[in-house]
Amino acid sequence: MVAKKQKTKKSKNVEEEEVDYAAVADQFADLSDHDSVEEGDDDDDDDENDESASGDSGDSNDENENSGSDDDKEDSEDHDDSEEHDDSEGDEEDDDGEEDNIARKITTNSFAGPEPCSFDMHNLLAINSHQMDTSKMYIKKAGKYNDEEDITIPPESLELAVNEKYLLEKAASGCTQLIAALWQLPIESSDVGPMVSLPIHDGSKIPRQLPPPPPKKETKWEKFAKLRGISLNKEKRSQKVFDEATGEWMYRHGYRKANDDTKEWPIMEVKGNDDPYADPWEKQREEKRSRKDKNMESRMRNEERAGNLVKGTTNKLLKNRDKARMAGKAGGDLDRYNVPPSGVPVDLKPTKGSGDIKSMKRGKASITNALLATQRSTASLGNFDKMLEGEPERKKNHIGAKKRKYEGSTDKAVISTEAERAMKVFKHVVDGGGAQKEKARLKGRLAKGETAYDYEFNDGLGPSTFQKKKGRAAAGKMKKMTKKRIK
Amino acid sequence: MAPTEQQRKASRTKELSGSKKVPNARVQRYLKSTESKLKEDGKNTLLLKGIKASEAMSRVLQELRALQAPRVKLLNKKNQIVPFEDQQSLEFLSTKNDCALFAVASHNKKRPNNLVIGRTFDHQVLDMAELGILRFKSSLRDYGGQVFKKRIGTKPLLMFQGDLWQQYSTTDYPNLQNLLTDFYRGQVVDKILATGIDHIIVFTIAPAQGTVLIHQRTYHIQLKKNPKDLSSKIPVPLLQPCGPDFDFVLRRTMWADSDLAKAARRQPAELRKKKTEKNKNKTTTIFGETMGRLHLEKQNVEKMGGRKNKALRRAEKAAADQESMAVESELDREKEEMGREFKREFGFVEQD
Repeated sequence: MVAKKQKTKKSKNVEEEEVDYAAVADQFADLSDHDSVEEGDDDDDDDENDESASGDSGDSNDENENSGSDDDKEDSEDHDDSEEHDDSEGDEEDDDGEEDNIARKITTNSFAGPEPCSFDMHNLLAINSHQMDTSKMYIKKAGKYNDEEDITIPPESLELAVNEKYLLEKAASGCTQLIAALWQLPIESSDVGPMVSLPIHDGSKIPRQLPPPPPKKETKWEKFAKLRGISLNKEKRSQKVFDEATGEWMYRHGYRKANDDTKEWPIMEVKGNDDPYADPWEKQREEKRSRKDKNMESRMRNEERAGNLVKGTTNKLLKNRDKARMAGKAGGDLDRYNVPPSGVPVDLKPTKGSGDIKSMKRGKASITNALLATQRSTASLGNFDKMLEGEPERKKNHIGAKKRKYEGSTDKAVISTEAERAMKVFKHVVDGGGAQKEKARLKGRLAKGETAYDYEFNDGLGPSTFQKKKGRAAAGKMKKMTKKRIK
Repeated sequence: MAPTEQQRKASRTKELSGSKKVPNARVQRYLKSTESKLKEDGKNTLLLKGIKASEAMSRVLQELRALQAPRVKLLNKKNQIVPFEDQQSLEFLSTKNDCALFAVASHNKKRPNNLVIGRTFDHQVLDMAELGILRFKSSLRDYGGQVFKKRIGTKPLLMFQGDLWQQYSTTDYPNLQNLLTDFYRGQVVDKILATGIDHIIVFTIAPAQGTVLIHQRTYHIQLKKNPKDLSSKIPVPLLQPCGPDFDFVLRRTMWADSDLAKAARRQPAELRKKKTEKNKNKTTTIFGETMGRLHLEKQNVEKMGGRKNKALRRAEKAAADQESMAVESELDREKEEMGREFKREFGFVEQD
């Protein structure tokens, strides 16, 4: 009953509108009459429509996948607010008296109407290139279009309202044609229903997402195999292999593969020609490493040939790798064999010119030097310290230290040379040492990077990281820490 | 945003030499799926909001997500993106989300209810069109509960009505048609279940109110038996409006220049249409034998030279000998005859 009320309300609306679409009004009047008729017949239609629905799936009559869902649809159609007209299409099995009426109405409304469409079946697209009749399409709004107030974006700026019925009719006509065209295409029945093969080419040209992948370049082996007619084992090899040890089918490659010889067994047999004193596990590791290296190298060379890598990277990489490995080994050896002699301060003047740790040998020379240094390493420069048994004589002065002569400020010699000497020192400082410093540096007399003055050291501090305040104060805006009162 | 040639090569070197940390198998599989394929799957859509988006526009995006599910990603936050000014953000998002289509919704006083739809090629913006939505009826909210809805992931039928869609020279509408087709068509398939079609999207274009309006309507399809021709297997659709319905106006556009557009549409050789072989003279019998027919001109068998073998030569020789013998015997007879005549006439035998 509610549904009927709605319909009559709608028809009222329709009649209330202006005479603008008078041509179409008659049709609508017809439909509204028809509507009231069909409402009563809805129950009858249920069964008949089921049959028709099941008849839809052309070849495969057994598959009534639609009928099940259609059942539900038919039930809901009873309560459907039904946009009037098209229910006419659903009522095929009415009484004879009505049938003529329906047939007539159907021809006027839809079904392969007077406007044939062109199709792009690849995209399931129909194109109706006829001009739209704007007089039929639009209705002038009397005031506010009542139904449209509360939709998501209401048509406030539009003065014209669209004649939905007209659009629907046209759509129905086009859709019918499109479906007819679809069913003209080659159909094969499958277990889910009739599958239509869509044409692959000749659709509207739609751009791709990505450019097509470049063709894969052949590897050296593939090229050779092709030339010699050797078959690559790609299709022949199965993914799983029977593993003797466990007695089951395991994967040929990868984690826990079948027939794995490369595992580290606790007991390794000594075979044939092998040296019984060689480390078999070391040997195994070496072999694995060499296989990995070889694999990596050949992969890289193939990619280089294909153009995916810069020419020459493989060679560069291998050279560097070998160098790095050698250096690593050397470093390890150093740690093992070339420990700097204990008891010798490392920054002491080396016995030989280079300053290399290697060249610092234990020996009398370095011990003597160490002793000398130790002797004067007190506040009094060793003057008042007790002598130990067997200790050599302490040299009073630091080796190389010269006692300075007293230079009075009124001496002629001093006055004449003072300015010059001071300038010399000043220049020395300003120039940063000059040639003398370079010499010293080359000879290795300067400390190597142990002080901040020796090179440009970036300690990570800069103007941006400078904080005037420290501690909590530096944290920025302070929030007042107050106790919350529990109410 | 994409890595340069040099960067790619450097990266690849690191991968192969083992110095780059390669992600786990699952991630690798995903990355492989985003690489370019010979035959492409459907495009993913990215839905996002612009600088300012109203509730209505958010609902528009939700509607689009319902239409395009599951190949769609709806982002929730607002973005400082103005598509017509700067596409870099969009390209970055397209790369990261692996989406070739996008829609940016925004709302401001100057451009109310604005939706910019567009597509990318190789993660670079290809085309963009700005639609001003004048009316929107949502299938999720405005149509009520009793209306049939389309199932998730089904492929729509599309229809373009109106002559303005074909006006190539002066207007943007043909390009817009292409863009809308791309946006709504879903996954590209070779085969489709004929009874699985459940909705059609109709775009109608008409000049009205001084501008050109485009009306998008979505109808739910129920396939029924043809009442006029009950014997035919071809069904007839019953259409019911289920939404979403849009009325919009085309504002700004940005189309790719012709070179890029051509390059984007270029299909690899394997997928292009092959010239069909003309096998008019090949037939296959019911036993499975392939028969070929050769068409030749009329041959003058008599004048043709054939291959000679020993037997034939011998026969020829024998025939020639016979002939010569016959000729000789004839000649001898004739000579004899003449001799006899001579003798008769002259009384003595002719002396040579």
